[in-house]
This record gives sequence, structure tokens and C-alpha cells, in this order.
Amino acid sequence: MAGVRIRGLAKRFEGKVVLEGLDLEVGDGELLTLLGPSGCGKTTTLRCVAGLERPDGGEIHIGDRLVASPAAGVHEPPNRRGIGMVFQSYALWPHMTVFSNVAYPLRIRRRDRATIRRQVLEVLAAVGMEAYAERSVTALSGGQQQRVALARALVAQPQVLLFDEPLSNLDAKLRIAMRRQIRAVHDQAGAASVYVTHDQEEAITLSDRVVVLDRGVVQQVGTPRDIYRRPANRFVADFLGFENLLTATVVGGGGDRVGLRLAGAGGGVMASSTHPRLAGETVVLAVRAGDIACEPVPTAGSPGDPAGGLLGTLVSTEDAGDRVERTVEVGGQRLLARSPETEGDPDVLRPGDAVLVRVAPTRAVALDDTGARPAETRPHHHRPAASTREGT
Amino acid sequence: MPADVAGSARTGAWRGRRRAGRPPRRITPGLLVLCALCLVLFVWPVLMLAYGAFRTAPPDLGGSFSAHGFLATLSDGSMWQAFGNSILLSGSTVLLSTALAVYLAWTVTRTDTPLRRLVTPMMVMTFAIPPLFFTLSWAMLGQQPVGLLDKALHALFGVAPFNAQSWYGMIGVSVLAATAAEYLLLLGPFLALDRSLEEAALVSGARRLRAFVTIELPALAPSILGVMILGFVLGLGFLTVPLLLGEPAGIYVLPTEIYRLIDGTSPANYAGASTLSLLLVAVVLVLVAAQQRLIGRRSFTTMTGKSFRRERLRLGKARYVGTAVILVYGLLALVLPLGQFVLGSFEPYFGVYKHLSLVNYRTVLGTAGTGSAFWTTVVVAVVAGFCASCLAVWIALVGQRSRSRLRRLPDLSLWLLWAVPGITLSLGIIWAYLSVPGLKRLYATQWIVLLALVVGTAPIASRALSGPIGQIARDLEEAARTAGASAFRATVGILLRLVLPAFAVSWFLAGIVASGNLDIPILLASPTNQTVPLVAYNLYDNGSLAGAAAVFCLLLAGIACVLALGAAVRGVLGLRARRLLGGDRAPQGAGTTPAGGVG
Repeated sequence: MAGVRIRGLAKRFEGKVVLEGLDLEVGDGELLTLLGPSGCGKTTTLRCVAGLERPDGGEIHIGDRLVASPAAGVHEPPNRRGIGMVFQSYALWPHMTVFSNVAYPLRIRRRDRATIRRQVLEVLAAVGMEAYAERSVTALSGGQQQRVALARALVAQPQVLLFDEPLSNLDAKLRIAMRRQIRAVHDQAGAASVYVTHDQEEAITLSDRVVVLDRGVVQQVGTPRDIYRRPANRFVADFLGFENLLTATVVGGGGDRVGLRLAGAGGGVMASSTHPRLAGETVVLAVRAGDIACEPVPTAGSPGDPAGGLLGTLVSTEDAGDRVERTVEVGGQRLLARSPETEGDPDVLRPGDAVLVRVAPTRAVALDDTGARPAETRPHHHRPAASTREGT
Repeated sequence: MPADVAGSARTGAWRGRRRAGRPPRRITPGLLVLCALCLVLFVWPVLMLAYGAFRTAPPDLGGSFSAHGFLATLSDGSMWQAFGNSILLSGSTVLLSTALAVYLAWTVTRTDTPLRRLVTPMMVMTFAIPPLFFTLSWAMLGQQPVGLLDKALHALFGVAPFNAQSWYGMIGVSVLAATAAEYLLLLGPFLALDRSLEEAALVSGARRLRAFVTIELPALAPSILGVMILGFVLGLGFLTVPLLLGEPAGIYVLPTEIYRLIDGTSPANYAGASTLSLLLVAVVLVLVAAQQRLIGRRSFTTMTGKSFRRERLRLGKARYVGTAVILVYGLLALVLPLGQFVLGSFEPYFGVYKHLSLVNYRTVLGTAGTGSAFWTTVVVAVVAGFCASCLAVWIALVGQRSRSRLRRLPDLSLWLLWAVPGITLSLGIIWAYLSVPGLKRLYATQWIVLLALVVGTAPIASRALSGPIGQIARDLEEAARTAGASAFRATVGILLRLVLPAFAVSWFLAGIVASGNLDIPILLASPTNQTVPLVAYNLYDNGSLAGAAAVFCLLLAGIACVLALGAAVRGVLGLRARRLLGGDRAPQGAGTTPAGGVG
């Protein structure tokens, strides 16, 4: 069995805790992304798997092989772990040609010349760089260098592929093309891949599973869709671009659907919840701006109904070309609504007008008010308790 | 900036306006003055060496043109033997010291060797101590049968085969001194090399040693080769070690031959000395050109990548090998020489270990000439260091800010000086100033020594300053200009203020080098204005080793005082700066790092 298994991984740098009790499993053929802000421990985790860093606690298995366990005194050096790695800085060796760079892992493994030549050209062809084999790597563009780095990681057919923010030095257009290439290469190699990034879009589009990390603690593990639509807590919602995080009170409902009320905002909102909640509980209502619509207040409405929407006052309107963004004040909290251009003529609603805010019921999420999930191990983990989130 | 945006659509018009707005290619009076100054100070002495090689008489006695001296020197077999000796001495020194410097740099930056933190301070100390110090103390240590090392070996093994006045002594002492300089030059590249290069090799399956040999060493090769060529060039022109350790053993190299032709022959053979100097300069220029051709284009200095705290290579028991090397180096380069010097300075007569007293210090300080030599040395070092640093700032500013084609000239002329080792520079300066009637009066005054030391230390000051000046973003000056400051005020108030820390370092470095320099005063100073190194050398030459030791101990104490003072000033200023800025230092330090910290 290939794949990577991490149990209770811990790492400190000069007394500062970077990772604590991290558990992860990456299956064969799976592409797992570690997502989080800088300093969250994602790169450290990757480097521990590579053997470039020695963990202070826990165990790492690659396949059936125990490669790191400080307790058992095991530390396999990186050169014996059978991995391929793509570095953020490409890390191509400047004194070698493209061919020599890619051939290096095979030369280390003492393959014969003919095999090396065949395999190197094969893998260069796979990344579209076969024409550049004899070039100096310093003469290549950033995208080309990244392709060579990818080829070098693949050439020895490792069981495990590691990617350390490989696209962060490329421009936006190139990044999308390279993303597809990395996915294709991963599918073809059938390896267990661990991919580190701080870019949520990259994580969502590329991965089979995403692990969101903050300050060395796993916040959520799930499919890209899960992470994107149903964040587990306030941190994940914020990091994945939920523009509106509002304070709300549970008024009813059971199971995974709850009715919420915002103080001073008239009606209410339906939201999904990961677990049943008690009436009167304070929660965070997380909703993306694109899932909120604004309309003029109808003269004869029934604003007491929870599904009837929220009453607010339009603060400002921003015309962003193909869409319109509106800031609305709802009972002292501000929220951001975004609608396609055709739906809302910017002139219909003016600042100061009363508006009815409708939240798509399947898209709103009720979250615990407190921070990270393993709150008991890291009680200090709170984001600043701002109850209002202003859209810009 | 709407006007600029509109203008950029029509590039021609925009460029035209830009040209009018910020005068490019204009040759300012300041630039002309600087170019003239550089030509007179740096280029003229070198040209005058060529002139001197074809003169029949010493500089101040007229004479006529003749190729006789030139040809006679080149056809003299002993000169070519000295040339060969120079190559042998410098070549073997560079090979050994580079190997040691690379090993130590690797040990310090990559491994978990105990005591590795000692190496850099040790090297800085070794570098700061004038080369004459090593040579003198090793000449004493290895003196048979009275040197400290000699006595110790005799006591331990019954025999002491080591004599400092020999090929081994010369090479050994040169290696000790050269290793410090090369280590300090290599530390930057070793630290700056993108560490993921090695990690990529490890992940590819290479062991640490293989990764170092196949990846890191080749990637560092241009830097190492550059340091080797610089070391070889400096070694060719090195006077002190062969003069003190080689000549007594009958080993002659080019610099000692140049000195001998002027000081040791009667009448002084200036044409011959100038010819040898020219030969030396020519060899060096060829080497520098070769270096530029070889590695000018193969620069791997674009070492990007985020730096990540890296695991050090765990050497296991083998790590004590490195510790042993560090300790032995410290013993040979610092402890033994210092110990011998301090002990020797208290001996009534060198080699007599009883009746230790302060008699040497009393004699030295009581001699009228010596007291004034200390004063001369202090003045000369402080003023020369200051002037050289000012010149270096000016040259760097012009080179980086001016748009005229002439801006490269000062920098190039400064580079020429690397090719002119101390003794040849002194000779060139003699020719340059004695051949001009009005300037002849400078000869045998403090002024000519001072001038020569400014010229001699300018390359060092330039090395210390051009980097930090280049790091100061142009925006900072431009922001001052848009805020209403004049060009002068922006330069002085913003730029020079930011250069200040680097200027202090440069001043200190140049001053240290000037205070320990022997090559320049040995030809230029008269008996009434000797500097400390010259006094120490003369005492040594006359057999008064204990007196030389006392003089040098006083000089080292002086340098140590300056160092302590500098550290204290830095501490006080740092404290005040921190208090002024409170906890809010980040915005101030964001744009520039004038001190040139490691990136």
C-alpha cells in the first residue's frame, strides 16, 4: 500500500509551536491539498513528509514504511523516502542543462544511459519541454522552469509527490494552465500527492480533498465542494471568501436546518447547520455576497415570516461592470450583496432606501460563534470578535 | 500623473519630455572634477610606472629615456626565478587557504559542528590584525632555538624541525592570513545560495555529501573561483611575509625584489624595480581579464527562493573533526601569535624567559621617534580612512546616479588599483609626484604617505560602500525631491544619512588596513615620519624582536580600543534609535537596509 499516513505530528521552532497533534491520511492516487494562511504549518508538514525537517513528535508512514518517529528514533533521510518534490522557487540547478536536471534522480539510482535518455525525454514530452532538453535552465521562463521542475519530480516514478506552493511565482494566466497540467500529471502518475497552497481557488479546483489548517491545527477536512459551501467554522468561512459573517440568534428548526433572526432586522433567514441547535443560541451566519439579493420593500409584505427576508437600509451601491455590489445595513450590522448586472438596475435603489434582503436558504450556513474546531486544545484561538463584516 | 499617462501613449513625446525634465547624459562640473581626481590619483601612478621603466635615473634626478634598464631586468635570470617563486608561493597559498576556507564555510553554514559559532568572530579578528603581526609573531614563534613553539616542541618531542624562515613558514603564515579573508568573502555566497537546490537533490535521492559535491559546490564555483583569483592576485603582490620570512632564507619573490632593487642596491635601480612592477601589474590584469571572461557570464548569483530554517547536517561523531580544525586554526592564527607577542614584549631580550619586565615598553615609549610614530599612525589611519570612504561614496553615487557615459570612468580606475599591489603603488606614486617639480616637495613628508594610503585603501572602502549605496532605493531621494527638497538637500539629508552606518564600517576598515600597512611607508616615509609598522619592522630588522613585539602590542591595544569604542557608540545609538521609534520600527526599515544585512 502506498500513500502517506501522519499521526500526531508535532513540530516546534525555537520553542514556538508550529504543529501539534496533526493527523492526516493521503490515499493512493489521491491529491490532497493543505490550505491555509502563511505560518499555519502547511509547509512544515510537507517538509516533515519529505524528511527535510525532523518532527518533534508523532509518526509518518509512507506506504507501509515508518519514515519518521522521534519516539522510536526513526528518521529516514529524504534521499531514501522515494518521493518527488516541486519547490516554490523551482530549485533548478543553474549549472546543469534541462536534461541533466531531469536526469539527476535517475543517475543517482544508477540507471543505464539508454534508460535515462528514454525516460527523461518521455517525461519532458509529457510536460511539453522535449524541445528544450539541451538548454540551460537559467535561459528559461518561469513557466518553463516550473515544467522542468515538475518533470524532475516525476522522472523516477515516486510513490509520493509533494508540491510546495509551486504556482505562486507565476502570473495568473500561466497559473491556470499549470494547474491543469499538474492535475493531469498526477492522474497519470497515480501517486499520492500532497499539495501546499494559500490560494483557495487553486485548492478548490485542483484537489480531491482539502485540509484547511490554521496555526498548526486542522480546521476542516473535506471535498472541495464541502469546504466551499459548508465551512466548518468561522475561520474556514472567512478564509474561503465568505464576505458576510453576521451575528444571529437561533429561533427554531431542528436537525440540519435552522431558522435565524438578526437583531433589529425584521424577518429571518433559513440556514444549514452541521448539528442541531437550541433556540436562543447565538451563531455566526455565513453567506457569500453572491447568494444575497436586494429588492425594494413591497408595500404589503409579511416581514414576520423567517423565510421572508431581512429588512435593511441601502448604504451604498458600487457598479462593478458585470455586477452590482450593494452594502446594506441590517439592524446595525453591514452586509454585502452582489447581483448580476441585468437583475438590478443600479438606479432603482438609492442610498437611504429601505430594502428587503433575501438570502438563498440553501447557501446560508450557521456556524459556532467560537473559533477553531479543537477549541479545547487551543483556547486562545479566536479571530477578533467583530460582529460586523463590511463588504468593500 | 494624468499628463504622464496620456503622454505614454505617444512614447516619443513622453521620452522627449522626460529627457528635458531630468537632464540625462549631462556632464556636470562635479563629474568632471571627480574624473580628473580619479585619473590623477589612481591612473597616473600606474602610467608613471611604465614611464619609469624606461628612465636612466631615479625620479628626482632627471636622466633620459632608455630601454636598457628594462631589457636588462627582463633578461636577468634571477628576476625570473623570483617571478617563479611568486607564482609558487601565491599559488600554493591560494589552493590551501581556499580549501580550508570552503571547508570552514561549509562547516559553519551547513553542519552541527560544535564551536562553529566561534569561527566568524575568529576570522574577523584575524582579518583585523595587520598581516605584519602574524609574520612577526610567527618569525618569533619559529625562531630556533628560542621561539615559543620551538621550545614547546623541543620539550615535547626533543626535536623541533619547524623554522618559520623557510618555504613552509612563508606558505603556512600566508595560508593563516588568507583563509580569514577568503572565508569572510565566501560566507555571503554560502548563506545566499538557495537552499532548496540542495533539498531538491536530497529529494531526488542523493546523499548529503553527494548533494554538496554535485549540486552546491558547482553552483558556488563562480564565487569560489572569483575568491581564488582575487587571493592569487593579492598573494602575488604581498610584501610582508616574504620580506620577513623569505629573505632571511634566501627566497626572493617579485615584491621583495622590487624593494631590494630600490633599498638594497646602490645606486637604487628604479628602472629595474619599475619593470618588475609593470610585469606584476600585467600578470594581474591578464588574470582579472581571464576571470571576467571565464565566469563573467556564468553567474549563478540569482539565488531566489524563500529562506526556510534548514535542518543542519548531523555529522554524528565525525562532527568533532570540524571542532578540531576550528581549534587548531584558532590556536595557530590567534592564540599562539598573540601569546608569543605579549610574552615576547615583556622579555628583556627575545628568547630570555626570565626577568620579565616592562623595560621594552619604557624603551619604546621613551624613544622620541616611536612616540611620534604612534601619533603619525593614528592621524594617517583616521584621515586616510575618512578620505578613502568619502571618495568611495562619491564614486558610487556618480556611478549609480549619473547618466553620462563618463560615469564609469571613476569606477574603472578604482578597479585598476586592485591590480597594483602595495609596493608597486608606492613606486608609482614616487614616480608620479617626484617627476613634477611643484609636487616634489611632498616627498618624505607625511602628506605623501597619507595620499598613498588614501589611494591604497580606496578599493576597500569602495567594496564596503558601493553595495549599501546601491541598495538605497532611488524612490527615497525622489520622494524628498517631490516633497520640495533641493537635489543637494535630498542627497545630504536622505541618502547620506542612510549611508552613514556603512560609512562608519568603511572608515573603520580602511583605517585598520592603513594603520597596519607596511608596503607604503617602507618606500615613502622618511625617518622623521615613520608609522608603527615601519618602526616595528626596523626593530625586527635590527634584531630587537622584543621591542617590535612591544610596539605591536601597543598598536593592537589601540585597535582594540577603537573597536570597543565603536561597539559602545553603536550600542548607544541603537538604544536611542529604539527609544525614538518606540515599537514602530518596521515602516522605517522597510524600504532600505543601508547596512547591507544578509538578505
